[in-house]
Amino acid sequence: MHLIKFYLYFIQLLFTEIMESLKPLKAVKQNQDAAYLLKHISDSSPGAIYQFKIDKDKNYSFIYASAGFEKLTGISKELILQDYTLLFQRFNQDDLPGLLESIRIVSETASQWDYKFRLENPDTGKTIWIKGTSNPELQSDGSILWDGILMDVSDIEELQEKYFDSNKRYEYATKATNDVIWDWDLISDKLFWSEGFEVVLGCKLTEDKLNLHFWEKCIHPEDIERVSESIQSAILNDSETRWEENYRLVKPDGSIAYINDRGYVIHNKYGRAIRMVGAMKDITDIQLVALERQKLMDNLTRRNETLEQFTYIVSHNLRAPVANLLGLSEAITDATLDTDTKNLMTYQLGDSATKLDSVLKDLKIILNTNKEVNFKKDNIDFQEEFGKVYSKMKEQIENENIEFITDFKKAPNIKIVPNYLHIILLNLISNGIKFKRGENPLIKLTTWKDNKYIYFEYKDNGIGVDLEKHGSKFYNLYHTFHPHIKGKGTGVFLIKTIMNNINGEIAVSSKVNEGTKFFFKFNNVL
Amino acid sequence: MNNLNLIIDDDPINNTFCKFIITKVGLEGNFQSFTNPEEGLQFVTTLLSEKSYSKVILFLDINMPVMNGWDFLKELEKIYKNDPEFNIYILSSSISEQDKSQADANKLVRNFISKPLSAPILEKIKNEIY
Repeated sequence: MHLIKFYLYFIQLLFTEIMESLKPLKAVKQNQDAAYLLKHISDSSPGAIYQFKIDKDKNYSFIYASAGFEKLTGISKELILQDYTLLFQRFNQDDLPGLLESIRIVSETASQWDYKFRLENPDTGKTIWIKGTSNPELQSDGSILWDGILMDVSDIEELQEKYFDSNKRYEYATKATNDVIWDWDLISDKLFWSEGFEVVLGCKLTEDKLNLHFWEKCIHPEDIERVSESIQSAILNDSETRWEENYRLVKPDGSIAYINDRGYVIHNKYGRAIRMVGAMKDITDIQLVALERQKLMDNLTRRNETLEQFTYIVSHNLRAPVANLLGLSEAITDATLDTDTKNLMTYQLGDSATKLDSVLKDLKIILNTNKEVNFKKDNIDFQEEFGKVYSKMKEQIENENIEFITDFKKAPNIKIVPNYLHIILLNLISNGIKFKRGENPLIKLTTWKDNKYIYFEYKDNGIGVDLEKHGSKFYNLYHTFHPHIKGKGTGVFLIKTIMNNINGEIAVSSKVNEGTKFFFKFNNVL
Repeated sequence: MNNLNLIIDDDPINNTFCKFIITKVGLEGNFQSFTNPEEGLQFVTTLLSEKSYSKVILFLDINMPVMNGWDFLKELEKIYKNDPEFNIYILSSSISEQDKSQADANKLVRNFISKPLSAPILEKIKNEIY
């Protein structure tokens, strides 16, 4: 029994002994495992892990370098541990001063080190961007121990450089062209404007203005419908990616900017437009020059037409009575003339002189009419102007028993050179009286309008004109249509001249023995 | 058969004067004038179809209402065969170069005369035709 007890005790003792003896063995094993693990992590991690030392005399040396060090720098681990300058030699020359300075600061302050620099590998000829991070620690002996990581950040750097370049390029280009860049998110209705938009508008863009509604509100009322429609159709049409419009912006101060705007529509994979990016150009200067040029051209064209009219009148209408005067004045001196012929010719001499005078007067009216185009426009009341013409021709109107129906309610006023409307009404009505037909002559005058134009229609039930026969010469000066009714041939010519002068339109339709209709379209000037 | 001197011009003063000067120069033949070109055209059409003349000189104006000289010639072209006995002159008060070149370009027209018609011009015509 005692023997067994002893035996058990012995075993227990032995076991404890063994266990005790095993203790340091286990610690070594554990230590070895940890170091291995650390080395494994260090060697297989991307980039290089190192330990760098600055001793109290400011001598530099590498104490440790991971396997990645050679991969990154092209310098073997063994060599760098012997000679740290091998690495320093590969620093990019431009980066070197800054880099050395940063190391010097660390050597004095032991502060956190973060630095980005270029490393050149003479073996491969490649330059890479390195980002270094470390946390240096001041040791008790006054040296600094510097554990750190070096990472190859060339990809990121290149990307950033590209991004920076293109961003800068974009920024400079925008500045150079005065273009306004915009970016419209259709889903959130957020509209981004580059700073140029404030310049174009001449006002600050607050948060509440960064949407499509504000932009639309700035567009000139005459342009909004067209622009709105075209942008809608660009968005709804999934095959459409490009959009362009010219329109006017009404600035907050009331002045107008002429805009050329181009956009690009971005669709999602279902073909739905989700975003639109574009560039807006203020072309006010160009547009104003173009408008000014157009005005000059119009004026010149008109002047040229006037000159042509003048030449025509001189060589035809003025020349006719002159030719008669020349012929007759010579013939009348002929001694063989009988008294009757002589009397007739004397009378005709006077007649020719009167005709000459009347052509000169017409010429003056035509030239005056052309000149008046630059006169101040007034707001003229159709009813009032009609009243003036009516009272001027009251006697003829009543003698010929002309009935008038007027309806100026839809467009009671027009902004025009006052005398122009007078000449138009006077000549229309005068012709209406002259070329009346039947027992119930009727003249109907009507006006109406829309946003852009004021329309005026004259309609009679007179003898009408064969337009197939006279069409091309209808508005010609001194062209008359009815051999039995004496027309002067100046009325419709003057009306046409006026409509040309004010860039209006005139159209005539007529049927013989039914009546004549004149249709006028005036620009609705505000 | 007679010779005929014909005027188509809407201006009666011109026609009176032409009658006077033609008589004075002694251009052979009868004198007839029309102030309405349509009536003139009717007359000429009959004249051409009946061939009831030996020599005709027509003085045609350009600027006339209803039908001008060019329209008249266009109508006449439809029935007119080149006839050396039927001579057309444009007699116009116009001094425009364009009218003159248009007359020169028209193969029916012998010449363009600027009003007033005068004795020297008529003498020249007389020599051309007789």
